[in-house]
Amino acid sequence: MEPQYRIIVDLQDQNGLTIHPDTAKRKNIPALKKWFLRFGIQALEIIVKTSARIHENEVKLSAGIIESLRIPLSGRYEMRAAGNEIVFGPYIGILAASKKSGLEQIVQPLANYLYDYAHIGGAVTAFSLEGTDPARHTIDGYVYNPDTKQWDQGVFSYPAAVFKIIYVDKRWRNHFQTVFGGRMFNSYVFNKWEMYRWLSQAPGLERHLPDTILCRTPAQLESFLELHRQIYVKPLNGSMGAGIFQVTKTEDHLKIDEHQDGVPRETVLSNVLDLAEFFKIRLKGKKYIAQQALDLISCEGKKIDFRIVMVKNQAGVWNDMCLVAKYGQRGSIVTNILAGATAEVGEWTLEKRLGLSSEEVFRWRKEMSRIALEAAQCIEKFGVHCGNLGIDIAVDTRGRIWIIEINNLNPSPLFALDIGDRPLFYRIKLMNMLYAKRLAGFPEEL
Amino acid sequence: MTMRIERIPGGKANLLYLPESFSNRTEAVPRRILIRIGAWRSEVEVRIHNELPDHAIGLSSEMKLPFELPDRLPYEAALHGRELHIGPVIAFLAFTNKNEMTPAALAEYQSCFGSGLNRGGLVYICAADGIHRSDKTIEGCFYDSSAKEENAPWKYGVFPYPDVVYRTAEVTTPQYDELIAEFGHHMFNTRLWNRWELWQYLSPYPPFREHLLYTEPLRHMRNLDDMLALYGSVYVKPADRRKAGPFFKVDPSNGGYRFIDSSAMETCFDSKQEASEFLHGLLSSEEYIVQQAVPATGHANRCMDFRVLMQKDGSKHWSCSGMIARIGGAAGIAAGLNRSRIALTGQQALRTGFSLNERDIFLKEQEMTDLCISACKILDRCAGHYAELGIDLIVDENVKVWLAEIGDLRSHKWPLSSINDRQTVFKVAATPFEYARALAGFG
Repeated sequence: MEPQYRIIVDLQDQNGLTIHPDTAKRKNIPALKKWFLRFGIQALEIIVKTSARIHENEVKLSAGIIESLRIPLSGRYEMRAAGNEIVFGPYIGILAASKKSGLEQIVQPLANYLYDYAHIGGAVTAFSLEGTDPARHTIDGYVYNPDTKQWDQGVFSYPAAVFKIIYVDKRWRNHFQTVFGGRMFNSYVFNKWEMYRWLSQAPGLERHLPDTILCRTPAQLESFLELHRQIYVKPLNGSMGAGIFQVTKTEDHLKIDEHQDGVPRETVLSNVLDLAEFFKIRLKGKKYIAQQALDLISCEGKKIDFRIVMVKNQAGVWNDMCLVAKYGQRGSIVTNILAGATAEVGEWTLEKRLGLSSEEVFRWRKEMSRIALEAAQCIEKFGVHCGNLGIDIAVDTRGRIWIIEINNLNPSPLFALDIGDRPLFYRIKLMNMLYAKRLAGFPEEL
Repeated sequence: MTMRIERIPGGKANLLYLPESFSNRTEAVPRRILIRIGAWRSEVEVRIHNELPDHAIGLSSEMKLPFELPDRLPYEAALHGRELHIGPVIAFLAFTNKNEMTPAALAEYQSCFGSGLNRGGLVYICAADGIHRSDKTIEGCFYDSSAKEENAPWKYGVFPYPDVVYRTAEVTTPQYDELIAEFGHHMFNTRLWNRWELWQYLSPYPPFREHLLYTEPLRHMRNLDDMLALYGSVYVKPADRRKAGPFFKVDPSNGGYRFIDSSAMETCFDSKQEASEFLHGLLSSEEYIVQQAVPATGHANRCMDFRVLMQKDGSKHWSCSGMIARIGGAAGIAAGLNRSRIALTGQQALRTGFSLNERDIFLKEQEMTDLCISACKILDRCAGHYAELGIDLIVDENVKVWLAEIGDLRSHKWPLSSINDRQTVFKVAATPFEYARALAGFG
């Protein structure tokens, strides 16, 4: 319950910030000290004055400062003194689209990140790469107006922290790293092979990873099939179950199962050269991995795996928000909701499908959470700044826990809706913003 | 890193053995180090032992520890400079007297020890009179999850003073003072407040004040009259939450006073004189406060309040482990005062009692949780060191949130059982141990 302040435009004073004397005392902002006012990545020198004539929940700021720093007046700002700076914020940017037109289409629904604006406060902008001016450090986008609960269009200064929910190329990554450093999260979207290589370095995680190879030659594919008899082939960068094939080696042929638009399809090939050619065509020459197939727990022919939604909070601590069980369609090789899978609260699934007592469910749940946390920490050790992760976990029929996949390109909190928990859906979105708030210089204090 | 402790036959009495892999992990292995187990420290010589497994620490069989250190348990080990900290050692002070630690009483704690404490270290349960200041040891029992003997997972022993004390038991003032002197900030759940102190702690904070039930000490009939004039209806409660004295909701009634007690029994006084005599009787045995009453919105014509389970976890931050709505009687007295045994989840209660939509449920839950977190932080700053608190909130007919009480978490189990939420029961039991580990330096 940090106090928030409305900014009143001061047309008389230049370079001045006027605050209530009690605010000055509570926030430890002596007027005598030399101060800079920081908003986003910019700071300007100001003169602090105190006046008992303004309301405790207001601050008066010179029009010139507001204009130079491009501070939206609709926000209710927190104020923190740090060194010789008074930081107004949080000022958070959501990098939500590549093109301005794309942003225009998706900006309104982004308001659901801000339903609990009272808790977040400050200014939140949504912007696109196209609207970003790297030379002037400005963004042509939208700012959330908490009074109207709408997004107002405008040109704004660079924010203090960025929550990125799209792919960006190396050129942009370099630029954002230069400007924001560690204050941008989900900075890099890793692929499946990178994930495997990183996690397999962690002694505690190796045994939870299905054997995986990056397929470069037909010979590799052949020896991997020889070893495991049944494998999955997945594109390096695919998501939502797209482009996944199950390959089974029998005595005299190779059987490929896939799902296209919810329809199962089977292809039979006679040798591994044809198989490699098949993937070359179907995956359009893109790189792919082969992964040992697991004998997953199932129900009436429906394969089951789990999604753990991991989100960092305002303290910068990972929170395991939920465990959702995904039941694939009968006979399907994938368990993606968009491919027709159904969802259930994961704890219920553990209880029903594994026959666990409630105490055992708790222990299993804790263990799955521990593995997910260790995986998240491991990925960050390899230089990827994450703030939200979707971790797919599976349990095989022998009770072993496996990490199947990790998604860090804005993993969907829609899983919360799939289990009928809309408040949880909003809470996940709020947590994203609170982590951004932390990065913007407003961490939760102990 | 999780390690096992092995006894190595022979050698000097102050020898500690480290595996060869240890020397690969550090630039230079200190030749003499301080070994720390709980609050106990000793300087020992270090030898690299080629045959010691990677995840093991060897102690010379001649090394005599002045306490028991169960070697069947895994431990974590952290080298800070020249100090090797083996642990965590956590004392769970759950009993006042050793004779209360019966098998039946210990069995009550079995699920919490069994479900969340398999991350290494020594966690023992103990009583206040089992603490031996002279040799800095504590008698207690640790939980041996690998025990083969049926129904005998608790192993008695005399253990070192811990890194951290997790207290839930009542202790005498001298015992409390000794614990504070010995463990300082490394004991959590320190002494609680009375209702008047709670008001004094929280009311100076402006954002908070509007959520607090205005409270005054009740010394005279005049206090009651003043508060009734201001608020129309008030609570009269013992200042000390632990005292069993009666409490009442008081309304004006036909020129007199109507006192409703926790079992919804009404006593009416027609005159100020009668009411004053009644109050005098109450105040002669203990101190009371008078507190603004707000009409708690109900569920099926029964009043309802919310118990928010606040705990610190391994991150050392406060978080909400659960929210339960307790449904009270029809008489309008707060649900927490009237122990009707009906409960709903916080969300169910907001959905049915206030007809909120899912978005507003989320926002109301957030508001309630934020209020509780702020209260916990203030109490940490100005009252003591806590890691689990139960906060009673009232949501009035305008959906405004009021903070009614803050106490310990002792009465959380029945409402959780009532809503059949076993997972939260386990979570609530395990979370303080996560905090204790972090506080011990093994987060």
